[in-house]
Amino acid sequence: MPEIRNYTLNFGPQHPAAHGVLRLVLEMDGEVIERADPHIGLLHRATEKLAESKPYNHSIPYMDRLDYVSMMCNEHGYVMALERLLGVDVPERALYIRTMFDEITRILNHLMWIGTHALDVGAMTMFLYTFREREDLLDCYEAVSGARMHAAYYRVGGVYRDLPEVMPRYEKNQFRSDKEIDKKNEARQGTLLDFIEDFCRRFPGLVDEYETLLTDNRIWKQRTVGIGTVSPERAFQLGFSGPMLRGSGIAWDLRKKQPYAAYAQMDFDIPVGQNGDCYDRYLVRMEELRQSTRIVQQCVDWLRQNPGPVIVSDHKIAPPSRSEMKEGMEGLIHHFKLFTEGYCPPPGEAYAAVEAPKGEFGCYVISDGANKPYRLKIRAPGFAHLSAMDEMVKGHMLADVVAVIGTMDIVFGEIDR
Amino acid sequence: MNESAKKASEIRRETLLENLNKRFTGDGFASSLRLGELTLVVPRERIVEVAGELRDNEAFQFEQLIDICGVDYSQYGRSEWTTDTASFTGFGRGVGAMQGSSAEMQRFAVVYHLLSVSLNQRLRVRVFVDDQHPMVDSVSGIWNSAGWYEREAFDLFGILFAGHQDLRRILTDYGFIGHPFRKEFPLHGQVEMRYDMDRQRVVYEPVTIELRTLVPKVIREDNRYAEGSNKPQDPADA
Amino acid sequence: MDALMNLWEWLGENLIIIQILIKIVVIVAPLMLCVAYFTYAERKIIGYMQVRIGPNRVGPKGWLQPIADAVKLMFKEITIPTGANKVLFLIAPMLTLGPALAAWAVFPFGEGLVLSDINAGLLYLIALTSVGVYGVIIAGWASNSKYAFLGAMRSAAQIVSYEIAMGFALVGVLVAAGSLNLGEIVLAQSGEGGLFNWFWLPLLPLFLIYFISGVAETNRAPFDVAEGESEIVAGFHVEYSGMPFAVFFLGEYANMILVSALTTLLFLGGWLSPFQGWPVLGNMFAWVPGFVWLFAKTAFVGFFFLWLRATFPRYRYDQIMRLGWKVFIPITIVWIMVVGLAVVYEMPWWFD
Repeated sequence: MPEIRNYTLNFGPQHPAAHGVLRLVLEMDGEVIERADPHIGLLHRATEKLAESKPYNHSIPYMDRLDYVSMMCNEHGYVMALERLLGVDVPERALYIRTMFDEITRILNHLMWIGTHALDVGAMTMFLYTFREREDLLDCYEAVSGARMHAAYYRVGGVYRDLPEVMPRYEKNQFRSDKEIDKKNEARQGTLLDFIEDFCRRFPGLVDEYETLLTDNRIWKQRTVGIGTVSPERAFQLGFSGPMLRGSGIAWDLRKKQPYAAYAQMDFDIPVGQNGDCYDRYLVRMEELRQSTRIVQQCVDWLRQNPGPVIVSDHKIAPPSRSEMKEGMEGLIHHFKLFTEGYCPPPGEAYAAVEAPKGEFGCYVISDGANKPYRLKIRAPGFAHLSAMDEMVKGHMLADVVAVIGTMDIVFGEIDR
Repeated sequence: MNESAKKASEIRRETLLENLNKRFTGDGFASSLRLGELTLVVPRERIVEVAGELRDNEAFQFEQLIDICGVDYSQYGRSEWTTDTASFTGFGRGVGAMQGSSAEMQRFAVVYHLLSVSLNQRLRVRVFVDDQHPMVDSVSGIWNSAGWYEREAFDLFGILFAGHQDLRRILTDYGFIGHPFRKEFPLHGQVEMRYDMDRQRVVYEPVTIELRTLVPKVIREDNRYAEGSNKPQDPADA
Repeated sequence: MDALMNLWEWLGENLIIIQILIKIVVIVAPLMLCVAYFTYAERKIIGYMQVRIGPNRVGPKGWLQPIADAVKLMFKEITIPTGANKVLFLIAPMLTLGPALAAWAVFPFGEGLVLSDINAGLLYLIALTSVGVYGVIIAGWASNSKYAFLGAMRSAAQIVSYEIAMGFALVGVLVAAGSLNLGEIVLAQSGEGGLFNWFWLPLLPLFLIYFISGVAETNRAPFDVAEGESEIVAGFHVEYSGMPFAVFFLGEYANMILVSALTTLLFLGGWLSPFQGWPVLGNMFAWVPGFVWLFAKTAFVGFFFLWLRATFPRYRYDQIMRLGWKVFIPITIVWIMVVGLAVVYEMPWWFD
């Protein structure tokens, strides 16, 4: 009788479903996975080490590049850790702006996730639909920070600047007819808040549209129900957080349980799954899209009525205004010191966590009193999720590996750091 | 956060601190509450025992290990900016790489961040490890998620975890030499890689770029933060 | 002089061969054009379904895109992996394209308008469409790549399973028509009821199963596990580039057109007018040549291929098997019996 052998399949790092640079070494028996060994680190940029060599403020843009589909949430985790270390109280308006942009980021991330997840499972239309909506939200990013993705908008003590009064519009060009451009500009006539409000009004309908494509689709259900099931006990053991934990039926959300920014004033619900499979996690995230829209709407209402400063007036931490810097000696000195040396938090350590779209994103900062972090440790949710890969795919088929990678919402920027 | 919730979480933290102090007494244990965060220092021989206790004891219930972080304390509290030497063009900026390690303190630490979902509280556990034998017992039997975090700490700091099933490098390249997050490891690394046309393959060579310090590390003794002592505090109770 | 005389005589004797060759060219050349523009149609239609425009740069409205693609593929380097079996590696694409084209030999484009009017036309078709899978298997094996091999295995299992369901669906047709000749099958569908006389109505389950099996046979979404770009990258043709890849592509699209055309013949009345025998419309559309109807119906069925692709996620390999063996085959068997009874008892409208 011939010898029957398992064979290994090298999945990635150049694989369309590897979500970047995941290398999976799969030990397979036919189509069935016996063991999965993820090799990571192909995108390792030593962000934490780089941060040790730079003043605190310089590392904020690095945070965008960690989980590069939920940029502002990463910044939020970092600046929160520093604010705790420095003992800074953030102005209330900044807190609401942060809350709003955290939720916009969550929508951005989940749109990206559902698009790629569906694409992995074979429904490619979803991807293009979600990117249509991402476009609008990235425009909000651009309006507020000047950059579509890597915003670097949050600062220690607030945000870089107040929301713009005018929403940028499309210009007339030769590629589209004027009528089309006018139609695109219809929602952009007012302020950024008007634009976001308009988005909030139509977005729930669009989520319904996505759901008609997938939620009751038999093939989608066959591909996701009962795949990658994780029990609540195992979810704890494996260090899951965010939707991965909630999909397993645990109602844990930092926004509710350890509220930060303005979440304590927000009215929203936490969706929770039952079975802990890919389908439940899908439903949880779809509902989060709706809940995030609710939060954004509440923030818009508040921000309309409450103008105020968006960053602390302590010029040891936040730069003075341009005119102050040009006209006053003190302002000039502050500006110079801040941009050449930065600020020195007292020796100590702080860990701050935010509920990033993928789970708990935490920053652990150790300061020895210098103007650079002594050690910065980034706790990326995807790292813990990916480490459960072996357990989640064991006994499933090759096609399910792809579904599980999709459901984990993996982004290598944050896993490899 | 509204005031009552804030109060409640403060009370929870203080109760937890009391419980920790009650439960973990003896040599090497220390606990502190700073910036609203609890830290427990554990002697390294007892980490597994303590971890099990923290997970299973009714008063703690830390079901989740959030993070494991390695720290290299060898240059803690050392400023790059030495302005003692003045020349006729001005002050010399001492921005050379910092050397040496302080002997009085243990060099490495492993920091565990724990989360209790049932009691909604967090705890930081720190274990100090010396330079000669950087080895701790693995907690992967208690929290499975520790597996990869310990691999990471091993990879980046060279801290060994006894009893770990699969202690391989995780983030660095295959065949990487050294532990890049140790303070003496240069920021730009040791080797660089290029494709050699003559030999028709990729070759590794010592780095050619030089390390520049754009902004020197400087420690300011700030009156606002001074609480009695201006000395950098011992990280153990920081 | 002698040689020329000989050639002339030879030609006289073999005129039939030349005739056939010309006919083949007349069929294959437009077919290839159809294939080329089917790819364009696919990109455009799916493009509009996905709120984008699709190709619009090459030529007016992108009409020259397929030509540009063809030229590009022709000039690309053909890479052959080191571990591959060269001969088989190059033969495999032809093995997929060949049967897809050969099947058209028995295809009637109108009454009597057929290259080879054989009586066992349906059997010939079943036989030829099964041969195509050898190309896939050989390609997967010869590439010496695990991904390609997995794709080949999946494809083989899938095609064999769906062949059965498809075969049963065809049995239903031939029972209903009482003939294996494709032309006669079409003629059996003509009647006063126009499109309600066609077989799609009495054989509705078989019609659906035939079409779905056809989608599975051609490895199209949602049954494209053999290619499944997110799982096994491109499956059996992952190692192919340039012209061999293009040939695979041609084979796939030629197969799609074949399946749509056959669906038209067997269930949608081939070249018959849908308004045949209707009071007013029947006369209004009497001037339309049968070929146009055939083309329109084929395009309509082909559109469903694209629609499916834009809508559905991909099945998992074992789920395809389950669907084929546990759902389709039982349904077809039951419906064949129903049709048999209907024919025996001469059910009105269709079988009287």
